[in-house]
Amino acid sequence: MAGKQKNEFVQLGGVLCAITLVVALCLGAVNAITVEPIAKQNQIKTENALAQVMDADSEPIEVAEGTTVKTDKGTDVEIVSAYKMTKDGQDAGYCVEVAPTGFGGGVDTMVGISADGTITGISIISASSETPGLGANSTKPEFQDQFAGQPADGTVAVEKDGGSIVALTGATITSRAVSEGVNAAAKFAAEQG
Amino acid sequence: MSFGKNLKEGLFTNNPVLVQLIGMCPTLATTTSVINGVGMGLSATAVLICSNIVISLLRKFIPNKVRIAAYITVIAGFVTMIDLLLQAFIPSLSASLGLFIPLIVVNCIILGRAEAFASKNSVGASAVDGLVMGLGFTFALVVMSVVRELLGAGTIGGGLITVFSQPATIMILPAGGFLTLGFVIAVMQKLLKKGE
Repeated sequence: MAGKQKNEFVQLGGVLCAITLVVALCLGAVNAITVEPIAKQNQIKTENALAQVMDADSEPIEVAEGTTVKTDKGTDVEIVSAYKMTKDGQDAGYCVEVAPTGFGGGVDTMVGISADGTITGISIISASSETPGLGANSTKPEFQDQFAGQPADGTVAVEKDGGSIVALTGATITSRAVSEGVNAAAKFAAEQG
Repeated sequence: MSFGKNLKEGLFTNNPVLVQLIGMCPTLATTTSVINGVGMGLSATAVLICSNIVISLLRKFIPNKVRIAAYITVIAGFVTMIDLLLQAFIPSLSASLGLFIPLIVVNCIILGRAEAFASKNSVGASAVDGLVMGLGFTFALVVMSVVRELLGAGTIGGGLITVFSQPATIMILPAGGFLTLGFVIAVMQKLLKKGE
């Protein structure tokens, strides 16, 4: 009886193992095909975002994974990547990609900070973890355009918090997160000199 | 059974969402705009057809005792492949459906059809079943998302046409999802009763 049971376990395990193996092989094959296009898509996204926030040449700055910046309000914001911007050989400021925590996860945002300390613009690369129809509306230009011209001194805030950013209807958390992201980016840029 | 009869069953008389009441989670979560609804419906249909075919092929090979684990492995495999392919080749759809694609793994319509149909029927019949059930799911999502987008965002077709500018935001929030689902099911029941 015991031997029979043992055999059954081996058989069940064997079948499951075989199925898992085949599925894993298929996944490996698909991954091999898609890894390059996906990397290219991400690069295009970043380049588009850079072009949108500042019209200048970019040069990536190395940012250690998991780097965070604490804003004046005490929010920890993750810095994803950063770029030193130059235009016609002149220092043009920085572009910093931040991922402040919104309603459902990180709101991936590119922030442009000019050398004279103003926000040149922001571009929200991904707000897919925010509520569709509410927080996800943050990718619309009407919202993003408000940030251009704001001071890069950590005082960007939504109207409710005494700032001048008109929050998205029903998505104060997302709007606040983006504002804090902008502040963190400004602080990070200031630390770079 | 003819394909037409199958189709009618999938879309109306045995609609997975509106009659069988399975797959509620993606139904409520993704129907905030028509584009999301259609994208989710078609992605799930693709997974459903593939998984039904494979599970039907393997139905004699998979031991009864570990069948659920085997089904989930197959389904998760297909979902991950579709996720990667969307990211690589249709990035715009992948961006808007983002979070929901991996959720197809736990869509009970897919596991439900594997268990109730594909594990007992031939490959051809299972493929047809996957197609009609997938279309039924898509149909339900489209009906839901048209209502919710129109009332909740005041637009038609994913923001293509703005109908009015003061929408009832609650309709695209979870509460609106439940409200819409209740009314759509009620209408469906009324129509089905009439048809009998």
